[in-house]
Amino acid sequence: MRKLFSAFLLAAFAATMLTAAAGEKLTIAVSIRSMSSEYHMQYVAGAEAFLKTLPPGTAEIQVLPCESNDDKQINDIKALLASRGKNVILFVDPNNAPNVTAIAEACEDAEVYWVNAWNTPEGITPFLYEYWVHHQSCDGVRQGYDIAVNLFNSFKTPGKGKILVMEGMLANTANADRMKGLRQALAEYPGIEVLDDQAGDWDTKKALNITETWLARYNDIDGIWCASDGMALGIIQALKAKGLNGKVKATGVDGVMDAIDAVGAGDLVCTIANNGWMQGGYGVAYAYAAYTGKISTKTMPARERMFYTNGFLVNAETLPRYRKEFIENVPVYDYNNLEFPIARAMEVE
Amino acid sequence: MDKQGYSSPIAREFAQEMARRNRIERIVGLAPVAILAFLVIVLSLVADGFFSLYNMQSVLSQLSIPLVMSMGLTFVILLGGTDLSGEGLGGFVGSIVVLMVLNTRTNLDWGLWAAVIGVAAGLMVGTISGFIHVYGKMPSFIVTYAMASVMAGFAVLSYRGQPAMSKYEFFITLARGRFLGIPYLTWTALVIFAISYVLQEHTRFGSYVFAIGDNERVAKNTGININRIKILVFAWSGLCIGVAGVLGAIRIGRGEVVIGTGTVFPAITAVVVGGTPLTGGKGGVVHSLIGALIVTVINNGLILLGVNTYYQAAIQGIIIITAVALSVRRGRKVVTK
Repeated sequence: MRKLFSAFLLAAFAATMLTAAAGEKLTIAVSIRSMSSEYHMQYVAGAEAFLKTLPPGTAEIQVLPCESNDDKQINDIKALLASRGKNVILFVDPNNAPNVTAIAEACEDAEVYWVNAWNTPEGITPFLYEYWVHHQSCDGVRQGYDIAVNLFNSFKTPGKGKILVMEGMLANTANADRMKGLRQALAEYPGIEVLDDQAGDWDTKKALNITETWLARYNDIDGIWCASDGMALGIIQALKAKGLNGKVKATGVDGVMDAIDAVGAGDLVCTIANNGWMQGGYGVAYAYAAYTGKISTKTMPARERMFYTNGFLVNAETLPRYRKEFIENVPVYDYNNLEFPIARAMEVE
Repeated sequence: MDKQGYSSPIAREFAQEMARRNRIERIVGLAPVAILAFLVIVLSLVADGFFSLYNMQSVLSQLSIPLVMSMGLTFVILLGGTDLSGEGLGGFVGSIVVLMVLNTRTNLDWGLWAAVIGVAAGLMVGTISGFIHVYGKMPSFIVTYAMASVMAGFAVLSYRGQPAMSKYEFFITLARGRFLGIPYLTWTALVIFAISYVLQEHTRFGSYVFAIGDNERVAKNTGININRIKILVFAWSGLCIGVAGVLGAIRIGRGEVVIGTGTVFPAITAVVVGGTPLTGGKGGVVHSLIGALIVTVINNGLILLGVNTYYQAAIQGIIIITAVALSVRRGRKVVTK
């Protein structure tokens, strides 16, 4: 009788645990700089598109905006891991590179699979961790180079002119890479002179103030190389106030809608759409595949653990194609094909 | 009684000491004007393009938002409090205003009513902060800091991550137009300054604010309704933040939370550098106008000199620490008086 009672208790306990486990939804967390960033919200839209491919009711999306605050990003992630345990997968765009180590260690301790985009400190890679599935980035060097070349060739005398440089945040890997690309292009175009270089911190307002002041000092500017669309929109406002939009050429990166429209209006020479939908969607698809055991970080090929994704250069020439593929039609991806987002493997230094 | 009318040598010594301190106080009070003049002269000599009509217009244009923000903050700081809600509240007002005028996201086209609603939202949130601060007996910095976070959240929710661009012609004219060579936005800020000056100098409200900042207990004993004045001050500050939010949206032509980002620190710097100590009780809006000019001219000059913006942030920090240190010393004299 006692044995029967014990067996009954055990069965009841197991059933309770199974029910609880079955009822526990997987949290797909997306840690971003700010919900005010259109590009960062593309990550979220990508994660939502992936969520739709899962059985209904088994997972939910949680967005963790850090509002450009390093500590907030780490604390929010730690709080989530503490409250949800292993039932989390995580996509992170670190606010600054140094955050990556703290996040990697927190996820390793909590045994939570995660992926990282854009920033990572030198020498800190997924190969050092079991639960860090991959690190992906758009090729920032390539972006910085491509927009620079487009800019230089848009001048009255192609390849010859004076430019101003609007950087993003100095401690940001994306900014450092784009600047490296600019320097490569400058080395190839000796006819380009850099008049000044300022950090606009990815901030529209700050870029507007800096450009207004630049325009007071320099009256022979041919172009402004700008590391992001948000700042480029501020630059355009300042140029418009002086009737110089379209005359002083400007660039951006990220592919936000207003910048795409500015390319159409002739106020911006080019921008590069990073395709956050693809980055966010495939990012969580990788983490989910590791979570379910479909892939293992121990056996994955190196190219899947550190890779570049392709952006889309939008200039006057390519704009109609971009509109057709990304605006009139929402990009749809096959998340079973995990090879798809890989443009090329990242070199590990 | 001596020849000069003093009843005793001690009385004479006391009166002379007070006169000496008043003289020093007046000279120190004029220091911000001297600093501004010094900056303008030096930058005109060393920074190419500083002393040009276009740059003066740029400085005035960049002055508009810190000036409006500092007008509200001056009254709060005169009370001995602070208002940090500007980052979120300014961003919220700017975001919703663009969504309500002709824009790329919504079908609304409410014209100037959008600006009125935006400013009213600022006024309302400021009033709520004042209520919580007074009746919740919570320090103003924590109430307003929390309010900034709440409103930043609402700002982002309002446009759901995809900011709207303004297509409202009147805003575009305001952003680019000038009257007598001065940008329209700066004229708007100067109107707020004029109203603030009248409030400070020619109303009972203004004198009560000074009285409370100087000594709250004494002010209370004289029958001033301290709670009411404090709530009114936070309401006024909220209104100014609302106006700054509208101006920010007009300036960048886009409604997003970054309109408020980084606006509070320069405004506080302007108030303190102008000569209103954080301990309250003295200073005022004219001081803040000078302070706002100093902050704007420094930022402008450093860009013209090609100094990296990170050094600019550091320099601004050093300036505020120096100004606070000086104002604390001055404050002590008031206390010993």
